[in-house]
Amino acid sequence: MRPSPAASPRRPGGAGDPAALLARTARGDEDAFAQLYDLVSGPVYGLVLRVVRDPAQAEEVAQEVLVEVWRTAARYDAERGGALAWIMTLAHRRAVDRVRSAQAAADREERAHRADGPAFDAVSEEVEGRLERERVRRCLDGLTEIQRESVTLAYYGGHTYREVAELLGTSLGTVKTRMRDGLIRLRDCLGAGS
Amino acid sequence: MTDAVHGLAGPYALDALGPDERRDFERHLDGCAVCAAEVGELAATAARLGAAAARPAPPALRDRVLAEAARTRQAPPRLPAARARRLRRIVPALAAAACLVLATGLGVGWYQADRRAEHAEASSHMMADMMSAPDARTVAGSVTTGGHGMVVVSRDRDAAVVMLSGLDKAPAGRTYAVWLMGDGAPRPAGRMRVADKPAMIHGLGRATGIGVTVEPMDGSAEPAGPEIFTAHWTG
Ligand SMILES: [Zn+2]
Repeated sequence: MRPSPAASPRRPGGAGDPAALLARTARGDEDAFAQLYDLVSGPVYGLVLRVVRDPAQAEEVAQEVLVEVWRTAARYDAERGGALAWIMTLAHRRAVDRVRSAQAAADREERAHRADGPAFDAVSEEVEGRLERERVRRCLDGLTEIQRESVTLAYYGGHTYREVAELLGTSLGTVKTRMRDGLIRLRDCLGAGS
Repeated sequence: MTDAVHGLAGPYALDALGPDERRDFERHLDGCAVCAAEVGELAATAARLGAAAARPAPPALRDRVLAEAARTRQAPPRLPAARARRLRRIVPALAAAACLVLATGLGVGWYQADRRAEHAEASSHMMADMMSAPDARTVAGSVTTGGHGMVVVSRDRDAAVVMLSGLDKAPAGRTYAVWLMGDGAPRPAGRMRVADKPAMIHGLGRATGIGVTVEPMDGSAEPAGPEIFTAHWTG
């Protein structure tokens, strides 16, 4: 898997490199974990908040995710991808599981509408983050409408592809395909822009 | 495996499968190198969507997380058996998913072409390395006999990795031949036979596509046999 500018914003091996910090965290190094926290807590919290919507729940889920990173750091396998990508995958999975839990079921309909809102509602002042956000936004704009909606309703909205098909009034096959080719187009675009 | 299962890599990378489908697809990933490699890539792209949503975490969260970590016992690394199982997601066992690998035989007509291809260990490292190339991109295509395939291409590395699933052994006396296309006449890029490993092609030059055909074991100057797979990329 390719490391991306977002997934490894700092120089590999340096103090700000998530993979190096994760390796030290795996050996029980609490200082390394604190530094890792400073690097990834923003992306983790922002993504979780985006998916679960409610700040109190987002904080709870983000805490679970970040403690899980500490707990399972030794199980991260660099061969399978970048360290931040691994952490973001954990975070997304947890966030989605939270919104799909029974408790959240009542909010589903409302979320379906809110998911139409802007994908980028908050900005930190960090320049690097802003550039990445701009790049992602530009690349999302380059997708077809159905690709973009399939990808964002699933990823930011936390919907299953079956729900997405229903929301878009299209077939399951179309949605599956658009999710895949939308991500591939995004990947090519993000790669070219970095 | 049916095409329907293979087609779930996109929804899976977006966590858009229901619980049953997620479990079934994870089982599928254990034996399908093509989907496993694809999921890895799509998930990395999804992670960038995630990072783009970053915003500062509430300040109080830091102390809570660090304090909870300090009293949380860490899990041990995975056992070797589990690790081996995960590696098979990338390089599936021979019987599980018939992928193509470059043959190491000595057919005279293929000798020159095989020099361009890598006979040695086609491994998960190789896949991971190719995918880490800054310009690596993935092109998928169907295998005419019913499976599916994926090519990871890097111009920087001047190389590509080809993985095909759902193929039987080539007929007796025949071999699967790989061709580089799009830069004049197709150039032979090596042979493959059904085995457990993806195939690496070096020396892409200006090629913009890869094709696989069935050819005589002792060589062909140009693709003449039945077409098995093609994939194109641009630029
Ligand atoms: Zn598959």
